[in-house]
Amino acid sequence: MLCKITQKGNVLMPEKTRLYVLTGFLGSGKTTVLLKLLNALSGKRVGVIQNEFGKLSIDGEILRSDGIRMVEINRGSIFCSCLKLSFVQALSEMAQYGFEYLFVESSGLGDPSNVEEILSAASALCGDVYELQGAICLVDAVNFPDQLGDLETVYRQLKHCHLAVVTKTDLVGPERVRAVHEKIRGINPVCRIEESAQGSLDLSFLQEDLMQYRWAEGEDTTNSEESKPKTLTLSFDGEVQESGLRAFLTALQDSLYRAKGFFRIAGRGWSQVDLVGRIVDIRPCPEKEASHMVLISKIGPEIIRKILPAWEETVGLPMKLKN
Amino acid sequence: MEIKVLGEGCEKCSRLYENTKEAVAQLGLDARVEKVEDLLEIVKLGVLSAPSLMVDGKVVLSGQVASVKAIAKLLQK
Repeated sequence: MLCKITQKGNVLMPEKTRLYVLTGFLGSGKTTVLLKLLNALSGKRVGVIQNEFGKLSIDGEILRSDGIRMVEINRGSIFCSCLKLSFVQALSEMAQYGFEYLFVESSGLGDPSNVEEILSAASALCGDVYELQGAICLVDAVNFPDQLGDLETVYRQLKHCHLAVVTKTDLVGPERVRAVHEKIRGINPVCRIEESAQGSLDLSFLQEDLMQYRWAEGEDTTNSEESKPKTLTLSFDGEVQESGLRAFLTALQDSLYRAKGFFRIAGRGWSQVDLVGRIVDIRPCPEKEASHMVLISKIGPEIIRKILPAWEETVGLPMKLKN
Repeated sequence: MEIKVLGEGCEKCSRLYENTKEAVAQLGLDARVEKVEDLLEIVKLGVLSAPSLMVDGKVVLSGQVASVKAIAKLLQK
């Protein structure tokens, strides 16, 4: 096992891996912030455990880079009874690399109330390798007020975080930012609060012990097989018109928590496409084998009956929709 | 016979538990069927997929639900 040795008094101690858990609702900017962190820590030994709700890994593709060891756990939340053991196993496997930092990017629907239970199970398997440095919860300034009413998960993510980062502050006015701060304080009276505009973030928290902001006791997660929202994967060959794709996503925006994927768009080439709340974001990305998108439904399997006619009307080309 | 059904309380785990109890009843075995739901305990038993079935300390089924008939077969081995 690789591990860094530090001297404490006269005793040589293996240095523990600093573990951060990134939470925050779908589309709040976790992958963006993680990319920033990985960039800032380049040269260090860093590992990532990536958790996505859909069957297809989108964020994994965005994050994949040489030199970063990543384990992906898809098809649900790592805090749910169905995947908790996979998470414990991944933590145990990652322990052998002696990382300085390990980041866990949880799914946007992940309720991390039981993270400490999972870490103690991992210690039973791989020893006391990890030092939890904190749960960082990203809060989308644009969509948070709507999401908070929607799901207990959003509340729990905030309750159990040690650092809350209000993202996308450049897209709203100062009034809204203040209101979001107040809402956060109503749920978590203790955590440190930072702001992030256009993906920028002050990383000085890496030097701080965020666990000093721990106040809520661990509890059972609300994630369960039964409460798991429906996800679908849309695959498409060929090129799509941007206007059609935007119209498609706009038609579905009220029925989806989130959509994300890659499309080859006429005149733009390969693009990463995101729908968060009512905002469609399209940006260039490296070439992919095929166009595909993960859709996370707010209305259960009913969504299928909306996707098919909406696609027909706005794009009108053959596509495949899979569970 | 000591039988343990390991899983943290998902629907599949409950089905495996019910099916196991049924198989034990059908075979008329003198066995104790216990449900282990605590994550730490499951990991300590060396099991990393759920639901799993353990008979006298040995994992006989891992990461899946089985029918009453299939479980009865496993218990008769």
